[in-house]
Formats: sequence, C-alpha cells, structure tokens
Amino acid sequence: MTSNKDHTKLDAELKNSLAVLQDIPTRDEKRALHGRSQFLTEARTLKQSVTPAAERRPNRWMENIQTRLPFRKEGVPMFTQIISALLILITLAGGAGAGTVYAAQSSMPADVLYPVKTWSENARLGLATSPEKDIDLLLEFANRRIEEMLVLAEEGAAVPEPLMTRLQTHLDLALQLCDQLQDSQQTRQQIRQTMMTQQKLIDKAPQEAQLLQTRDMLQQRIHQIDQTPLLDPAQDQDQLQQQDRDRLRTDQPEDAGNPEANGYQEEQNSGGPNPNLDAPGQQSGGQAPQRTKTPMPGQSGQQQGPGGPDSSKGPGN
Amino acid sequence: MNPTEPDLLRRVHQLETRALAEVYDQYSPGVFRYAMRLLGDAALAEDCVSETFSRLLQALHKGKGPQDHLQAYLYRIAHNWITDQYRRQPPPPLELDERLTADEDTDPLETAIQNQRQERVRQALKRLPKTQRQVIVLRYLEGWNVQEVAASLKRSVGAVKAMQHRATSTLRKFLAIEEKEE
Repeated sequence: MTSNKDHTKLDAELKNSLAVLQDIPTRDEKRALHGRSQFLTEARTLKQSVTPAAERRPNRWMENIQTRLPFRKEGVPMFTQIISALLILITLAGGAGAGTVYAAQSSMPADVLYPVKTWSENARLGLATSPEKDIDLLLEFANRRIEEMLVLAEEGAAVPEPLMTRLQTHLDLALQLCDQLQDSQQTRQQIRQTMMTQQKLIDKAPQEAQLLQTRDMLQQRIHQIDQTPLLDPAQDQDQLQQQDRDRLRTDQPEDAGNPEANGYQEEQNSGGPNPNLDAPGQQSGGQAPQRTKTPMPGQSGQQQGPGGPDSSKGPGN
Repeated sequence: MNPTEPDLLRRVHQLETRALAEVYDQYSPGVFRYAMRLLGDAALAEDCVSETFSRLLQALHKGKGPQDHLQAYLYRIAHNWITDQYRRQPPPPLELDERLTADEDTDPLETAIQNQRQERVRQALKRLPKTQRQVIVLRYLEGWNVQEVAASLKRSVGAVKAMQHRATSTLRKFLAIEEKEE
C-alpha cells in the first residue's frame, strides 16, 4: 500500500509533468466576441420560441366558454401566426423577403444588401419590449459595427463615416437607456465591459485613422462611465437626500448663532467633510461624517439638478 | 467553486439574456483554457466553448440544465465534447500559418521541444479512461479540490480520491512509456 508520503511525492512528480500544459496561448478576442454574440443570439431565438401561455391554456370551464367564443385558446401564438401570414404575403408581394434579410446579415457596408441589414436592426429595436432588451440589442449591434470595421481595416479599405456614426449612436443610445433604468449599475458595467473589449480589439487591428478615432470615442465614453458616481442600489437618491436633511435638522441648534454656518453648503463648496456635519454626539473635527457617498471629482454633492449626476453624459459628449 | 447563486441560476433557467451573458463572460475563458489544454488547438477549443454553451441553452430550453453547480455542469459538457472529439478523429496536424512571424525572444528549438512535451502529456492523458482524465485535469491543471471535482462528476469524495489514485498511477506509467518510446 502506498504511504501518504509516497502519494505526495507521486503528486508532485505528476504535477511537474503536467505543468507543461499550464501555459496556453491567449484567446483570440475577436473569436471570443463572435462566440459570445452567437451564444446570445441563440439564447434569444430559443427564448422567443418558448410558449409563455401554459397557464393560459384552458381548463375545463374556460374550455367550455372559449370553444363558444370566436377567439382561439392561445391569443399570442395566434397573433404571431397572423403576423407571420402577413409577412409571407408581404414577402411574396414585394419579392424581397426573409431570405434577403437573412442574407443581408453577413453583408458589409459597401454591399448592396447592407441597408437591409441596418433596416432589420432598426426593426428589431422597434420590436424590443423593454429598455433592457433595447440595450442588449444595441450592444450586439455595436459589436457588429466593430467587427465590420475590423474586417474593412484588415482588407485595407477605408472605414466609412456613417459606420462610425452608427456605432456611436448605438453606444450613446444604450447609455441613455441605461440612465433611465432603476438599477443601472450592472447595465452600466455591462456597457463599459463591451466598450473595453471593443477597444482591445481595435488596439490589435491595423492602425487606421478611423479606427484610432473610434478608439478615442470609446475611451471617452469609458471615461464618462468611470466618472459617473455609482449609487448603492440599497441606498438610493431619496434616502441620501433624506439623510442630509436629517443631519441639517440635527445640526441646526449648534449653528443657530451663525446663520452663515450651513455645513452642507460648506461641504459642497469645499468638496470635503465639514466638522459641523458630524453626527449628533460626535465631537467637531473628530470622526468622519456618516455620509456614505462621497461625491466623485467634479460632482458638487448629493443634491442634483433635474439631470442628475448623469446629466453630463449625453450623446454629444 | 461554490454553488452558483440561486438568483443567477433562476435567471439562467428563464433564459434571461443578461444572466446568460454574465455566465458566458464568467465561465467561457475557463472552458476555453480547459479545452485548449486537452486539445492543443485554439480553433477546436473555440468550437468546444461554442458547443458547450449551445448545449447548455438546449438543456435549459428543455427545462433541464444545472440545478446548483453551473461551472461543474459546463466542464462536464466540455469534457464530453472533448472525449467525443478524441474518438472521432486524431488531432489534425499543425498547419503553418503565414501570419506567424518569428519572435526574436523565442528560441525555435525551445518552442519545438515545449510543443513536443505538451503533446506527450496530452497523448498520455488521452489514453486514460474518460473520468480518470477528468479528475486529473480538474485537480492538477484547473486546481479544483476533491470536493469540487466530486460535485462536477456527481460522485462521492471517497470515489474521487480512489479514482485520482488510480489515475495518477496509470498516468505515470503512460508518461514513462511515452518517454521510452521517444
């Protein structure tokens, strides 16, 4: 029987032998990005094919009623069928159909079918039912634009201006929609991650002027995201403002003799904590105030205008 | 490797795009590494990642899929795919890529020797029974502990330890044979 000591020795020897497999080449980011995009597209397709109406299927009494009604048991699939039938009719009538749209998906900006591709993307955006879905689509389309740019750059062709504008629009729209979300932190990071990956891909591509311009644009937006304060979802804007109001109320008697001594205002102006703002019971200049959110550089405090902290971030920036 | 967050798993089972993107970003690099080590071919490793995540989607679509350890589940799929790949065909010969350029810092002889060593270990691993190979790779190359491997294989910790013992002995023999053959 092998003793523990022998076993350890055997493990160490084997570990050394297997160590040659530890070093593996870096993954090709373009392929990885493409794989990710394919995976998410497949997920969306599968999700759409799931019938969400299981609970809507008729039970006994509903069946009796529904069979007497002119409607079918599952409204949504029926509606889909009608839409499909209409689409087929349009396809047959128009001569350009789903096949064309499908074929257009791999087209490049200079191709005849490229407008069909962008049109189908706009149509998909128009059909999205929530800002989250819109953002996912916009990021997917932004990745497509980057892939197109990289292919063009590799072929030595110029990247057309509209392609760059379209990429910029996708990203700005995604950021705008993200600002409207209740809990935008995760989405914002998702957008940031996408832009980081895109930037890395561009770094590896031939150094074309348009690509460098695109990289700068991405860098600018990443910087904007980094500069935007991230709110703790558990402690939202209202809570923070309420805390400030409470604190001011508590501090009021101490500052009553000095009408100028508005600690909150002073903190805003100086950008640092004011000893007068210490929580009740604390000595002035003692421990740090209990504010959990420190304004980011360039931000003046918790009170924000109608635009909020993100108002500096707009499509034009 | 901790059990996957229940909330994330729930969202994954609902095929929520954002949750799936999170899962892909978190686990696809690891699956790629794993496949790359066993296959030694980047294109095949990418195929493995793609197929693994596609099979995950298919399982989720049928209402199946992982109930607790998502990572273990993915590695299991990847391992099965790699084993099938082993059965299907011998590894393709390395092709010369015209984009490859000589790196001044790398000695070509050293690279060739390193490639040969890697291939020798891969061949030895390939000769192991499927589960034993999985134990060895997860334990020694991926750095998983016995409990994690047990969760991945759906076996008891004792069974994994026994399997590891058998696998290490066999692999050592194989490596010695490979060395002698050279």
